[in-house]
Amino acid sequence: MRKYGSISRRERQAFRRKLVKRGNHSHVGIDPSLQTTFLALVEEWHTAVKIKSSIAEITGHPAYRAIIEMGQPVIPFILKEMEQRPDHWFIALEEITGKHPDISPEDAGNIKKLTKVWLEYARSHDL
Amino acid sequence: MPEVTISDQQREEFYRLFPKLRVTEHKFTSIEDTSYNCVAWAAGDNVTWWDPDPRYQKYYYWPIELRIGPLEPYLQAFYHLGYEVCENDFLKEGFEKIAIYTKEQAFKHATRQLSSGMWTSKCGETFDLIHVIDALTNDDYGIVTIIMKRPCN
Repeated sequence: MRKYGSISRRERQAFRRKLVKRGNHSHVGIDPSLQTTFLALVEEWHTAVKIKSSIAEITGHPAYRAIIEMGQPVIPFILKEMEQRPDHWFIALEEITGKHPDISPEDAGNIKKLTKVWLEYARSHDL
Repeated sequence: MPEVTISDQQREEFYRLFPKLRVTEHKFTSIEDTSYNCVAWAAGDNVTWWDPDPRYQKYYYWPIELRIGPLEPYLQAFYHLGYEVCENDFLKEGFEKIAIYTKEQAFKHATRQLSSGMWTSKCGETFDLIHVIDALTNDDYGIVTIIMKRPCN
C-alpha cells in the first residue's frame, strides 16, 4: 500500500467516511484528529515540494489535493498556517470555498500581499 | 553575497536532494523564503513568485502573454528580458548568462551566472545558494540543456 507521509490511504479513506458521516460543512469546534491529519499532510506536502518552482507541481501534489478534499472543516487550519507562514494556500482556499477576493493585477506573485488579502477576505466573509 | 548559516539537518537534507552539491564548491546565501522562486531569481527579482500557469494567473506573475507549454513560455520570458540562446556557459565579459534545467523537455529550474563565473539559484521555497553550474542535477531538476546570454553594463 502506498503511504503519504504518516497517513496511509486506508486512514485517509476512513477520514473521508467520517467527514461524510458528520457532514462535510460542519463547524463544530476543532476536531483534534482532523488537525492532526491536516498537519501531517502539510508536513508531507512541504517536504515533497519545497525545492519545486512550478505551481502546477506544488498544488498538484497528492497531499495538497488531499487537504482540498478534506473540505470546509480545514479552512481554519489553513488560515492559521497562512498567518504563521505565507505559502501557496490561495488555490486550496479557492477550490474549497468556490470564492476568492478581488486580486489586483499588480499583486500577482506577491505571496505576502496575497496572503494578507486572503486573510482579510476570510475574516470579512466568515470563512 | 555573504554566506548564511543553515542547520546541519537542513544542509544534509539539501545534500540528499542534490548529491552533486556535497562534492562541489557551494555556499548558502539566504534563509528559506517563500516570496520568490528560481525563475524570478534568475531574472534578478527576489520579491515575486513567477509562474506561467494560466489557471492561476491572478495569483502569480508572468511577464509575457504566452503561458501555455512546458518550456516555451520560459524561453520567451527570457527573450523578453533581453536574453538569447548561446552556445556555452563560459564567463564572458559584458554579458550575463542564465542556464535552464529541463527534464523530458519541460522547464524545471533556472540559474544565473555571477561575475565570479559561479551560479546563483533559488531552490523552490528554500534557499539561495551559489554553486557550479550542474550541481543541482537530480531527478527533479533534470539537467542543464539551455544557456542564454544578454549584454550587461
